[in-house]
Amino acid sequence: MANDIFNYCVATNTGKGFITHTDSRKFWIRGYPANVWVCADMMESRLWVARNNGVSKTKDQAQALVTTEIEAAQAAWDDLSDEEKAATSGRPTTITLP
Amino acid sequence: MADYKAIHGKNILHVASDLDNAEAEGQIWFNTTSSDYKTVVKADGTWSSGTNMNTARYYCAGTATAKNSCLIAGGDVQNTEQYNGTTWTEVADMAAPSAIEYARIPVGTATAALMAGGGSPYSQTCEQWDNSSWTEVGDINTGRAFGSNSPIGTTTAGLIAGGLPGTQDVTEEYNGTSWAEQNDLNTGRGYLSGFGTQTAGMVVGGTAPAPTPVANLESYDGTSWTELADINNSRSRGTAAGTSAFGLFYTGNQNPTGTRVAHTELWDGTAWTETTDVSTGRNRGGGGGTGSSAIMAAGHDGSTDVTSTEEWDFTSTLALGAWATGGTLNTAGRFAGTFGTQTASLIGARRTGPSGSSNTSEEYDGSSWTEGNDQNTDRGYGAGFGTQTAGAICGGTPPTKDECEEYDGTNWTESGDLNTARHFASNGATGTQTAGLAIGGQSAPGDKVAITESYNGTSWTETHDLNTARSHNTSGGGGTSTAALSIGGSSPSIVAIVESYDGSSWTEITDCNTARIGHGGFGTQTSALTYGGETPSMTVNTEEWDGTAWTEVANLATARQGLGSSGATAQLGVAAGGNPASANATDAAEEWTQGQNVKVITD
Repeated sequence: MANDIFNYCVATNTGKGFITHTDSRKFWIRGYPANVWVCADMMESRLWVARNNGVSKTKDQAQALVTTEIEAAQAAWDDLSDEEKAATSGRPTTITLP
Repeated sequence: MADYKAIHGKNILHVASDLDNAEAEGQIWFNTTSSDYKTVVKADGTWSSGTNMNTARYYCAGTATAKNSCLIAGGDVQNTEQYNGTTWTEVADMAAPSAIEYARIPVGTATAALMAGGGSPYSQTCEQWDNSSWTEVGDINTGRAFGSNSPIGTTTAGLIAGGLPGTQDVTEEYNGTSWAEQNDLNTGRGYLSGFGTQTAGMVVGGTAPAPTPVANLESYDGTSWTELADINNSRSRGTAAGTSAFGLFYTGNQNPTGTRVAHTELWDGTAWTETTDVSTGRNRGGGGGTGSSAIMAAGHDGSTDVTSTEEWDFTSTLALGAWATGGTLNTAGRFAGTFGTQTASLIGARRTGPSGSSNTSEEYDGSSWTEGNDQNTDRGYGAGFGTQTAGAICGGTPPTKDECEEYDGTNWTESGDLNTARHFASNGATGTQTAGLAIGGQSAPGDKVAITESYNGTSWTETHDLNTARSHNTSGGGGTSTAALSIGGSSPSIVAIVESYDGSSWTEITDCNTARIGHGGFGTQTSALTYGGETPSMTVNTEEWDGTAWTEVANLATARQGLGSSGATAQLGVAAGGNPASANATDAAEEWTQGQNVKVITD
């Protein structure tokens, strides 16, 4: 994906129909914390953003949203007891958007 | 004139939605919603890894009838190997000296072949393989090597063309006894490839002269050669398969400097279309077969001789699978016991946070989740099996549980306990409510178990241990108590190990591509999907198992682990909940669908 150009948006996953099989066959899409979605930038993905009332973001804005969410999750994890920590899948790790 | 029903035994159906099952294959129907005539056609062909040869080589000669029937003889080594789709077996060596076993021209099949010419000085000798031994038969008229690689015709009606020295245009036919010269090629060349029959033969590519590759395709009708459509990528030293109506040309040298390529092109009788490439670009290996089932073995990848074998399959009418969002759970959760299918699933008790869990259960109808009766025992990390109206969930934590509950479509009822209390994660169970299987798990923090237990609808019986004790493994939801998989997991390191169960023992088979824990899976022992999990980072990665190899397919939209998985086949399933990177639990679901490759008939 190194040479691809992406578009970034915030959209709420409304469940069935949010991403259709047709969508996922037409363009690359990934979901991240804070309802951030990253798509291969093409007409079909822009139409998908519009259809789902997504709010377009720059990469930096989207990264900031994800980082804030992860840092909050890390802080929450740090506050857990050792027993509770053992019951989780580990401290949330930093995510860098493509 | 016969009508459609008289020909095919069926009328053209008028349907509001497309046929999407085996019924669709070979049929034409009218979609009343879109007002289109439609049918199902083959999807893209695929190359998959076969068994490696015993001896790496190139400039060998190969004959094949399909991906599972091939003979590779000589090359820069002297021996011969035969492939049955599973194993390469050393068979009798050719009699010719090693200098002549180089770049011979093949004809025939894996069990009845000719190897003509070859070597340097250029030989006129020809040897025949009868599936047991080699016998020298009539010489070719023009000594040469590097002629039509991959076979044209049979041992009683064979054809060879082209080759070195220079740019040979000589064509010879074999009648089972002797070789006779025929009309020449239009373009003399060496390092070309051949396919088809003696009366409908084809040669493609090559050099004219070396080292520049050409794109020419010529067709032979038993008398003369005719130029047809060029290939898209000029190349020499490739391998070909098929017939004059439906062929395949793959690998080779793309340019004078000898760059090995993985290109694969399909011939439909009129034109060449680029299709799925082989995995390892190479030149002058051996192979052949048909346009639907072919093989590529050995060759040189640019730095070394290779042993790798790749098998071409172009028979599936299934389109590429894809994930789409499914209905949203009423209660977000992770590591729930789940069972059922994409359109009739149940998700049971689940973890909702670091220290919380919920004993709610929800049914899915392929569109939305509806809360039903609660499970009797609050838990997460249970393992589910069965159908939405006859399922069960066993084990779980905290604390580690041995309880098993049956679901009848409405109510949960306590049933026989596991012999070994444990928690599973990610559906470490499969089968039916009366013939279930619980596989591996963790009996206490850090204590991975190899124990397998079978359930008869009443009680659990310990059966056969996994080879590798582990938890957080997954199994295909459509498996049975006598045909199951255990994929990946924690041993406690994250492993890619896959084991297959036949009711008597577990056998380690091909690893999945990505080691993972807490992943999802559905399907059967011979056709399954696994996805998501920790690697140790959360992943979207999805892999498909076809009974032989794991193939990367379309990935989940959101990386997570602890997904609840339901699906009786690898073509239809739903993954619900789990925990993504930043949250303890999600309510999101994704559906996997791999339907028939439906096309609109336009003329």
